[in-house]
Amino acid sequence: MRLYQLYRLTLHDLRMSSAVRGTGILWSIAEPVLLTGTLWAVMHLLVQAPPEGAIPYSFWFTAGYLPWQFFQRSVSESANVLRKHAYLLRQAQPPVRLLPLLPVCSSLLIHLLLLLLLGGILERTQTAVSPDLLLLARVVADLILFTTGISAALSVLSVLVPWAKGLTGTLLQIWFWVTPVAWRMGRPDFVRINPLCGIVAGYRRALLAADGGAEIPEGVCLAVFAAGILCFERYRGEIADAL
Amino acid sequence: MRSERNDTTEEAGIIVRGLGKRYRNGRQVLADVHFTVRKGETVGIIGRNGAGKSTLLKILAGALEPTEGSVRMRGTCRAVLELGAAFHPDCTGRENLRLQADLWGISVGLRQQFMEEALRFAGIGQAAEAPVRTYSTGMFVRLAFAAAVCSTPEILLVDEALSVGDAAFQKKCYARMREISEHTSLVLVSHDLHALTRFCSRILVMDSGRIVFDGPAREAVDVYYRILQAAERAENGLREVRTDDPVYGDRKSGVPEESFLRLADPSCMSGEGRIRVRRFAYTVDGVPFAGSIREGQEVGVALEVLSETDTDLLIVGYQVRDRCGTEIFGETQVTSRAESPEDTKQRAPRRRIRRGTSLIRFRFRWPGVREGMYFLTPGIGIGEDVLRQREQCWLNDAIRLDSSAGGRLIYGMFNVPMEAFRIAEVPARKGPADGKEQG
Repeated sequence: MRLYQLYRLTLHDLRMSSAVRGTGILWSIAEPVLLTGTLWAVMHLLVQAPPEGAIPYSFWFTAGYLPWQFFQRSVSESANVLRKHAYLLRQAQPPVRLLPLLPVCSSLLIHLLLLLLLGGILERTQTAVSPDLLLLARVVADLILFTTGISAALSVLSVLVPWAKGLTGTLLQIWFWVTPVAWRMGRPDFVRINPLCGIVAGYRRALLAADGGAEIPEGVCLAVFAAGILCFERYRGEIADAL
Repeated sequence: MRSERNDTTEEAGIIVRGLGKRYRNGRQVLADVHFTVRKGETVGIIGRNGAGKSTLLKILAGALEPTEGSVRMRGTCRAVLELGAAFHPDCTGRENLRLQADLWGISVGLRQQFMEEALRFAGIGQAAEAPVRTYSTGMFVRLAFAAAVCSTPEILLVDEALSVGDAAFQKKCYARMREISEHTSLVLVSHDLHALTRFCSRILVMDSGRIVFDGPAREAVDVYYRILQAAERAENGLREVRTDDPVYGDRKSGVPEESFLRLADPSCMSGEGRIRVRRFAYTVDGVPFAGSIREGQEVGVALEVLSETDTDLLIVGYQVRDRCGTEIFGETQVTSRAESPEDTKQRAPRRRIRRGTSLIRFRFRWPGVREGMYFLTPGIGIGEDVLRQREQCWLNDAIRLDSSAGGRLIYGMFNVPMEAFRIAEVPARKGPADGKEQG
């Protein structure tokens, strides 16, 4: 029942966040796909970056960009998800616990589609060896856990702490540049404490068999997920008061 | 007050135990609330503004979390809370119903039937295809209420939502609620006491976040009015007038003394103005400027008037209207042949007033009208008789009174008691007129 509600709410969320009314969820999905495609094309055709071993830079970049894009989209939307869906809280037995999952689910739908597209292109162009699906599933699961934890905590904190939402955009920008999406992992070593380093490296390993230079932080992802859910449950009762 | 009903857990639709709510700013809005609503029971909640009714309903609905105690809801619950509904403003009425059906777990097979039934009940026509942000409040509530009742809930919570609908829709809603009430626990919050006392067998009265009465509807209304009157006295810093209180010099007439007079609002005055009310006061059973009243209580009115003329044709009266402006009752000193104690003592004509300032006082007893809001208009005119008078100064709707029927059932605007009643057996007649068929 709850899963069905989550599924319907996710579709509703995608439909309502579409910039072009009347296109349903199509534009919501097509928009990030087009943006990622454009970014890939720019990297492939215009940026004269050296390849990473045998792998063209555009593919190497896109493999790291996809997990970041999922994370960034989920987190930035989670900062506003409770306010955006406050109308749902005015009904009996409101689906409060489902709301912080909405940005993660809608972003996941787009993410999986992009992964499918990238995998297809990689297969066709024979740029790298076939993707390691088992490793990919593991790293996607870790990314979902990590992102859900952050989103759950941020969704409730952005309602209770007025400046949390405003700070999210700035922090995400800084986070992007300390995550090896556009650059190769190297020194300084302290950036490795960023769990997304390991996740991005895991994606590159799974999709391109490229050495990412960092381990997948499974324990950290699980801990962040648990901490995020605990934080949400701790303050859940205050959401309606604050809204 | 704790509900002492012996409701077994199996029968209960809602069980509330030790409920309390404190907001983030530290304000305690509910404390130690206990009650049970049986399956198929209809319960009303009344109380002054800020008593905690809406908060309680939101907690029952799960829209707010309590800080103490527990709520157990046994069955699917729907709520129409404070003119709100879980509708996305940019979605059409039909799209919102589809979303509600999905969230409420209505199967795909039944979804269309639910939507059609809800739209038919709401009666919003083509507006169903327009975004709900373009709806009027009334249309919004129509759709919200329709969605709630057409989804066959086991528990239905309604908070003041019906007050914005038109009379025909309200009637339709009450009829529908009565229809589903056999198998649905209904909890209604409303200030429409007349409707609540007719619809609910049991009413909870709330005051300062607590349930102070839980029992039969008519007794509950009486308790509510007593709370209102006590609050009015406390808010105005006024005491009840005792007949031995020297401050209120006019002990015998029971009408307010000059020191309590308030300036009359010129915006509510009408008339020629040769005799004009400057200040006025009123009491209900001795309580100055009270806001509530019940059958049998005495209303005293004092008018400080400034007259530009001498006349022996003064007519002083009052008129009471309901909130729709319908005139319910009224009287003048001429037609009621009332005489003040001073008239008797000083043999002053009842209809004479001299140039300058005078104080006019009268009183009457409040009749058994049905519960609701009433407006009293004191007025002064000049004329041979009431039908041919020239209006001088009427204080239109200057006094507002919330009336309770004092625990009595009022069938219309007011009751007229039967003066005689008898049952007699009629002996059967014999012959052709006793109903036999003629051949």
